Amino acid sequence: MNRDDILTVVRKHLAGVLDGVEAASIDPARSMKDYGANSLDIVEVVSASMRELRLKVPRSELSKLTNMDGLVDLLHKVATEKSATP
Amino acid sequence: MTTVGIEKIGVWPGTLSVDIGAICLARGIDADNFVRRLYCVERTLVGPFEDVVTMAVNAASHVLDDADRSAIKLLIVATESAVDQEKPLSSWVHHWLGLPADCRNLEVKHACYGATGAMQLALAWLAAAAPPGAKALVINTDHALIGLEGVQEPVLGAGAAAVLLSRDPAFASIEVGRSGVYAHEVADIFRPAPGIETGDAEESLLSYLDGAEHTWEAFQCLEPTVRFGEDFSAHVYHTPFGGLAERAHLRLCKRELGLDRASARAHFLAKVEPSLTHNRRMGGVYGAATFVAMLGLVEHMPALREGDRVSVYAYGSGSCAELYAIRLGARARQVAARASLGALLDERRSVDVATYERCERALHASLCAKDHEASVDLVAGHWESHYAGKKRLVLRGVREWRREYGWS
Repeated sequence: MNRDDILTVVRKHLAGVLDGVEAASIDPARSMKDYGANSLDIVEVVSASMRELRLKVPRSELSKLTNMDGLVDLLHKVATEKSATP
Repeated sequence: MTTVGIEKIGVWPGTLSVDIGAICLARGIDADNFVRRLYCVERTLVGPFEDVVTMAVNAASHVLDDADRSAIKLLIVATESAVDQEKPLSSWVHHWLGLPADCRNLEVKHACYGATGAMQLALAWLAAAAPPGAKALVINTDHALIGLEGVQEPVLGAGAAAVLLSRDPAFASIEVGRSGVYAHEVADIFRPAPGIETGDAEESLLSYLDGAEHTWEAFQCLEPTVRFGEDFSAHVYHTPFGGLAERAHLRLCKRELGLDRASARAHFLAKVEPSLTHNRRMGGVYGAATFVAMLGLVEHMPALREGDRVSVYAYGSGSCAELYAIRLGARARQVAARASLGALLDERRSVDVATYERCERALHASLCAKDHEASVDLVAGHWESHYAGKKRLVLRGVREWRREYGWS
């Protein structure tokens, strides 16, 4: 699973909770709030992404994030660590 | 196996309410987000003459008849708002409901899951070991702790639901033993000391949504052929606020039915939204939420018929989640009519934000008080309009730590 795969999943779930936002048009350098997401939307996107990717990230790590790139990097890091674990 | 389930439901929504929009306005936060998107319209307040004991008794007393009272041999009161760390709430409830001396009673706690877990244990007792004609009464009674100006303030609430269980499930039979359960330890929302609620709300939302999927998967293990769409006429969700129930349902629709957002939302409006009718006026009612939602569903979804199957998802912080199935009974609508929850909600007195804040501060001050007097002046005229002569259980006060109750 590379970083682009993870970005695709996050974009898909953000577009899925918002009206009128195309997944491909989402700029990961921005925050989900910039697209009109409320806190419940963000929880939904993070939760659905983790479930689809079969990853678990502690809340303490998630709370430090400021934009979608940060989330994708974090998920990618956890995925890489998971795949390296025998 | 013997058919068991819910014979009656009674709910106590209190006698005071406040508009969530007014709270949002006072706090300078987006009312549209809470009122329209998250389904938070009003909340119940705990007035000066009420506590978790009076709410529990008032939920049950108006739906039980004398034959029920004498048949109840098991009483379980679930709460996370107990007023004593040794004496169970069930002792007061047993006394004030006039239940027989041979009625086993206890208090249980598992956040918002307690009443569901208690109900499943009571149903197993009814199916396997209860004497002929015996019934069980499970009550959830809770109120939010003081949350003025906190991030969760617009979703807080109070209330109680009483569920009479028997081998005559007039309201709904329950498929005993067929439950998808998912338990895992998490520090989401907790009450580490009297009067204090803390934790991480977003952690709780994550855990709730995960639980919805895990319990559905566990349910599928027990019934491999089950179909989320075709096999259920409606769906009930634990409802801290309606917006969270919506999220859980949309996710299961996308996953199980492959629906896009618009179709999943239409599915939600048809199969879930009627159940939120009463919840949106009470606020978060903890473990009572699924039972309040069942009443709303039966009253506001005319297409439902006897025998229709409904899934119920319960979740409690800490955490334990469970998804089970009910089938509507022959007299479900009569049971709901007798509960008359809509009328009780309409009867509440709506107060302004300043009065709401006074009530919340008074409740908070009473929680650990050695001495406390229920104040008739806190909300002027409220005793006369909502209690005098109505035979509702009231808290008179606390004297030397002893709680004193009586009928109004």
